[in-house]
Amino acid sequence: MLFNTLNFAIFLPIVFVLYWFFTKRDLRVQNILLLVSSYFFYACWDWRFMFLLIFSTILDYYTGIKIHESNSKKRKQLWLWISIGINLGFLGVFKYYNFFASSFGDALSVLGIKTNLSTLQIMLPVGISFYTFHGLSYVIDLYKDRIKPERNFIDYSLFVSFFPLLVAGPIERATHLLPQIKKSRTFDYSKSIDGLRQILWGLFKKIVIADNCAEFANEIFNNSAHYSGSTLLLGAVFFTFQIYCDFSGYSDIALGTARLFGIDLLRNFAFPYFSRDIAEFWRRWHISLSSWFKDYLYIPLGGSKGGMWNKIRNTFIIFIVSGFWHGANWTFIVWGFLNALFIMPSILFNTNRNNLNIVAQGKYLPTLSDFFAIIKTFFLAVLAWIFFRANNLTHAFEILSNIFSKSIISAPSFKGSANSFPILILLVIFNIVEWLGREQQFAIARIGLNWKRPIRWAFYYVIIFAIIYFGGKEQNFIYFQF
Amino acid sequence: MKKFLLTILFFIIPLLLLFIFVEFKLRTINSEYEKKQKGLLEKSSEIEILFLGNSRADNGLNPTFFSKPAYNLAYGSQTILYDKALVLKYLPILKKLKHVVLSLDYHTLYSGYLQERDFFYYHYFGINIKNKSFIKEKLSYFFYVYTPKISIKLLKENKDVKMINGWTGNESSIASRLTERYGRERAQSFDLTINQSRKTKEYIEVQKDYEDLIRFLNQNNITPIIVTAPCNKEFTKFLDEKINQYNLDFIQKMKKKYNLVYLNSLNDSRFKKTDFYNNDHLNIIGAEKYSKIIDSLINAQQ
Repeated sequence: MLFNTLNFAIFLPIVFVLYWFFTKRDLRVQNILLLVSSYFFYACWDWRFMFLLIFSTILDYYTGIKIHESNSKKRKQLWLWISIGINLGFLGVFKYYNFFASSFGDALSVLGIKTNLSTLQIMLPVGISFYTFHGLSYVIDLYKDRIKPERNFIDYSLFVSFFPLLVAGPIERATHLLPQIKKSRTFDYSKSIDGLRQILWGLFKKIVIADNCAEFANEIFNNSAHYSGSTLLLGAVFFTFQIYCDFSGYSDIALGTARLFGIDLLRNFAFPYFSRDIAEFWRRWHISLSSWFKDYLYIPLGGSKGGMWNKIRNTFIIFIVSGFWHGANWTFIVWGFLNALFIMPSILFNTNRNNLNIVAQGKYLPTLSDFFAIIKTFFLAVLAWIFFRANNLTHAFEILSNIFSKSIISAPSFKGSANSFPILILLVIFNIVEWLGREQQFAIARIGLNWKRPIRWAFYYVIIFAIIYFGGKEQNFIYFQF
Repeated sequence: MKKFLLTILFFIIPLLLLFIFVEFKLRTINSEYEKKQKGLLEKSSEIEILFLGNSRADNGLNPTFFSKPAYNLAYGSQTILYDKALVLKYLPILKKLKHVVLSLDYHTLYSGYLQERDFFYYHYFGINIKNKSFIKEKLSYFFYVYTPKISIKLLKENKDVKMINGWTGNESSIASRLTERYGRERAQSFDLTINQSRKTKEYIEVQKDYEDLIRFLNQNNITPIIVTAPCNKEFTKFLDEKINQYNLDFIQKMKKKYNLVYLNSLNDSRFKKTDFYNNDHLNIIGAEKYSKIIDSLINAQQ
């Protein structure tokens, strides 16, 4: 079930009404209802993968208790590695088997050894990377004694499977979500209205911006050989907005939906394209994954301790692993490597924490230097996204070589370019709204709150009409494949 | 909670009223399908020649230029599946029908079921190819019969199309659409359809339907006149010769088995740029020329 479908528009109000009207505010009943709804939501994709989700839940629930109950460090370690091994084993089989088999075969054939490693037609279970990381953070936190084990199986299962975050995050932490699951929840008018506003903005981002940019980006990337450098660059820019609005739109809908049930999820995006350097970009992009890698990989590796060399090594490791997390393709790995490379100047010159504040806070316009820093960071991101979107490395390098050719100095033109003008205008409007709302949780969180109700509602109606009118061809959410 | 529900209710009411209004307007809009259906019923007792097929036949065959009473029941993207269903449904009332002009264009043998247009054939002609319930479509024309964009366009235009014996025709040429670039793109889009059809094996069903229709017409003493419409050379030069040859082989095979007439006008040099509306559709001037050619072909048969 996709957030941008009629099915979800029917599903959500039903769960909402049942949750607030038919559970008598009984926390246990509310949690059971949310869990059943979450499993139903997941089963709508493919009920066969339910077993994997439930197995992963049982595994981490059980090993979590065992870790806590073990007296010796060795036993704790054993249970931890059982959990990590099985979780990553599943992830490896479903997500990476074909990649390793074909890469290994390629490597052997370079040495003149012919192999017949067969690849398998394996379907990737939706959300496996997300719920696996949920579970891993839980058992690692238990091992590190940061939390106590959750003994209520329903509550733990809901922590793993809560439907707004189940298939594409945000990747939650037990320290943040479990206490909310265990606490009695009462209806909060302003929280719910805020949630609806966030859902509306998420739908706008996904349906109006991402889906329309996708049409042009797909046309240009799929026929890249026919297009000039300037058109390819425009295609990359379209993809840059597509992936942002697709994923952050999904996150907005997820966060807004959770708020309707009185639950706050971790923020996943904080206007990353207004970042002044790549370090800031990564503090604002897919925050729940970045912080996951920081806490569970970068810091255990030693983090920034142990001198500059260790810092550089660890930075490259987390970016490359992060790229690999996205998928079994060299393009993702190079994307991660490139980002590590782009962040290096701020690591080397120790400027990676220079831009911790919000750009032009309290002002309408940025300073000239901030403006150019934003543009520079944006184009570095565009460059890296080319690898993320390309079919393979050869494709990415072909696109790049065309972009850095004479044909960059020509007017972009592609099939359907005549229809792209309204979308370009929408992109400009979208960026203005995002800029105005950059100090908030999401762009329209505060916009119009002081306006009179008819004007404020007219603003929301305009967004709804835009969603209906400019709705692109329905596209899946990009991050569902991860 | 009460405040929340009331706010939501008051917010939704204007949207709901607008939705009801739009749905009502869309249901009363003048549809070409409806006009074609009504016209067919009106003229059914006199029609001797019936045109079926896609937009090339719809635009290119003007019944006014035929010496016998003719009617154009072709329509944009109409495939042989629907042609066959229309013949099966209306033949009992077309008592004088002698000839059926059928399209055989580059892509004809590869397209069958049309998900986006299926409802129209159900709603206006009472044809339900897949025995669907069309619940969603009946609930909302705005979202499910048309798209929101098309719905708004239809409501804005709401034009009353002039139709003569099922024919509307295209007024003039769009010079900018007669270019090599558009020709290539158009040919590529047909190749995509054809490849998809080969992948899904849909073409096997389509060709079976084509033969069924020819056989059925023969059994009812009606002569099928198979025609390949003329197209601009900026388009035809990008067509895959293998597919053209496959189409010709198919029709030769049909010719051996059944009584039919075939005319291939794809590269007919009598048609100039000024005869085309775009690369693969005739305008009213081209339609007059083409209609007269087909008429003389039919007359020569008698």
